[in-house]
Amino acid sequence: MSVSPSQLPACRQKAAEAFHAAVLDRTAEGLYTTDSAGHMTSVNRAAALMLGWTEQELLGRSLHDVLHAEPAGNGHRAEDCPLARSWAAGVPAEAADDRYVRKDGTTFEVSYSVSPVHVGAQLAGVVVAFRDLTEAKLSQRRELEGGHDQKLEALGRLSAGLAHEINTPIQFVGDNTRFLAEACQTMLQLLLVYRRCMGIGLSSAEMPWEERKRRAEDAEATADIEYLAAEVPGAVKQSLEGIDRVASLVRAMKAFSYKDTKEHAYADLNEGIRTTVVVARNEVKYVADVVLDLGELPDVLCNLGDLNQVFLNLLVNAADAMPEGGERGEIKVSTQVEGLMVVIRFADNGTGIPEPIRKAVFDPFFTTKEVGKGTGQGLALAHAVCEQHGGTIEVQSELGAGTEFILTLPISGKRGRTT
Amino acid sequence: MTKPRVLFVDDEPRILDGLRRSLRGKRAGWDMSFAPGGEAALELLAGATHDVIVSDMRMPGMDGAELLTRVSTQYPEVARVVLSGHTEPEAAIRVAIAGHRFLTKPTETETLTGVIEQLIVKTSGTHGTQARRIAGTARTLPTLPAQVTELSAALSAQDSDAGRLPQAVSLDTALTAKLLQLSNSAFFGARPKNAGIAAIVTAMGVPTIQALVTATAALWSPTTWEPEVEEYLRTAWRHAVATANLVESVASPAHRPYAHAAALIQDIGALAALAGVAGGITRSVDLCLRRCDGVPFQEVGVELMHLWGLPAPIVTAVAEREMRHEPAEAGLGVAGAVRVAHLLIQGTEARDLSDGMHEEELQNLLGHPQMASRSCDWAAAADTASERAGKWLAA
Repeated sequence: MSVSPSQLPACRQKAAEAFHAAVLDRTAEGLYTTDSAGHMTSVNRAAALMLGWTEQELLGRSLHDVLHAEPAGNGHRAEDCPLARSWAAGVPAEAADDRYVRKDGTTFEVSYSVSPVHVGAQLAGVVVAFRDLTEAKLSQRRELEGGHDQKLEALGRLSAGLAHEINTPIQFVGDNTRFLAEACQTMLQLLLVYRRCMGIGLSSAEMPWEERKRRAEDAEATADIEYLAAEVPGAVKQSLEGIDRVASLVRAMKAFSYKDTKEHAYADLNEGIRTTVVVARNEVKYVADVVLDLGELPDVLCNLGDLNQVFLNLLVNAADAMPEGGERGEIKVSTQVEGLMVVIRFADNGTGIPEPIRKAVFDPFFTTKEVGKGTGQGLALAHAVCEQHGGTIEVQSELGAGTEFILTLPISGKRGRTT
Repeated sequence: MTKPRVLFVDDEPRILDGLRRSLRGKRAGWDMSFAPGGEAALELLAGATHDVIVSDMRMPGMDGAELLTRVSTQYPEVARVVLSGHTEPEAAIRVAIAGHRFLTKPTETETLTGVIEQLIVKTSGTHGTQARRIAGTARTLPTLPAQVTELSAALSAQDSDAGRLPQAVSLDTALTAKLLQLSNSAFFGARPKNAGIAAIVTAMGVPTIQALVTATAALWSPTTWEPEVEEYLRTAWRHAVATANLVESVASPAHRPYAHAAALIQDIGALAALAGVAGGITRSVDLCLRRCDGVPFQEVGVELMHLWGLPAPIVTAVAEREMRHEPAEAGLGVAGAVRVAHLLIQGTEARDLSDGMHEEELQNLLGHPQMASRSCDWAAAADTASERAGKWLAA
């Protein structure tokens, strides 16, 4: 089609209109405009589709009545409606969250932005663009669940060690109890001999004293009473110790995975560290001693379950850093308050991290461990958890001398966090 | 006569205390000593002749695998038992190579004493300690490089061809013997009795097999055999595979898994003796007279199967492979089936050069109802089995 110069302005006009129509109707974002009273003046196709109304039904209605309809809506009263406040103040809003109500009464999460439209100094209305967050939330949840899988993986490595920590006391508690059962039987038999010698329940009161003494001595020799006297208290004590060990381990396991929620609550980080050391004992005890130097700490607003995971990863890493076949190492964990922050240090005297890879240690999937031993997620997870808490994690390392990880966490949690 | 000596090793003193107390009833029969670690254990072993060592797996300093490996070279007459609270089989592979029996914590006193009582007994009447020393040196049986190659290939093809691994394992004498040993222990997962190799492979899982193959390959790949020894290994392997292949048709279905395994490991005594030689131990191994330091291979083999706790039908079948078989009316059993298959293979290219034909005995056995009732050309079947084995060996 050829266009003569005189037709140009009209043509441009048409093109602009087509462009606007395309933007309004084809874009995936919901768009609507309102007048200064909050009545809808235009609605694009995506908005109408998402809300379940037709354009005609929406035009002229109060957007608060439509989008925040009671009772299934989010219960804003008209004067509290963030949209209404936004245009009343004439300030734009970016990527705010809200929940809209569809025509059928169901609701969905949206992210929206508001731009006021001014005509001169007067507020003529607002343009609102919104996006359905259902999909995004779903995929976010999937990611979180993926993170949960990683957690389980860390626990998977632990579970074998935990089984060992439980099986060992069960072995010696069982052995001691079997011994005690035998000892008990022997002592009962001895008692019966004594009883007879005492003449209880028998008419053998005429038994000469020498005979009674001889019988008692024989019975004591058979029972090996010295051995029993020496071993029984130890067997009882060790059995109780074994049971305490299993009980405290089970308690620690429960405390370790501490309410697996997203909630942040005030918690004792020293207790979390102690719990983690108990749980990770089998991963560490063959290569290193753990020294705890835990200062007085106020309770910290945090997700203790997540932080325990971080402590676990740092402990296991420190144990893995001990040179193969070298001397027994030491892992020192210390805590202290510095101003409004809590500082936690995990220091080992292991092999250290070479300079070139020191920066990469927090990268996901970065690992120097042999296949099957590490997934390269531990420190990435630690980094992410510290960030979520508004804190930091740093590493200092010297080859051959050891590595120190320093966690700094704000006592009152991440400011402005809405959880 | 001196009492048998048993040594217990654990880094947890409470475990030793518990064992000492619960085994007190045994003090009349055994001399027991207790060591808190590997070094202390070696000192005690140096001081007196022991019969059995029971060791923990993970210990600081020298761990159980290292201790038992040293015991296998310095004190091969000492039977080696692992008593560990660890549950993951892959981590246990090192100790699986070095140990004889495997017990998990918690183990009841009766089970532990049962195993120790068994191991105190030496099977060879005339060469007791000597046969024990030769058998005790062997941690695994020698494997030819070609077999390791096929196993590795089968492992990497696991995703595409799941049937190849059990097949490769069931042609490998060393791995079959090791798996039979390990499958006897709760340590490596419980499984039904009379399990075939395929069932054991499935029950143990590919990672464990993988770890075993790697450990075995590391042990044997640096070995260069004398030409006549290599020739012997190849011949023995071909004979074993051909017999195992044929015995599948000879044995009744219920006896097949054990008969196959027994046929495959029939020369276990010679292999154990050669394992010691490869390990650098000076021994006179006479491949013609089938003796090692004067001890018949057969006695060495039986002692090793005893140490490893292999199922009784397999032990009997291997022990009686070289003996004339008088079949029972009821059926050939595992031992009879292996003997028949062995004699049939003697008529093929895969024959065992150290044994003859025994024609008259073979005819007698073929006349047994279990064989005669089936219209099968046994000589032809034996030739087929022999050819197959030859092809596998060449591949």
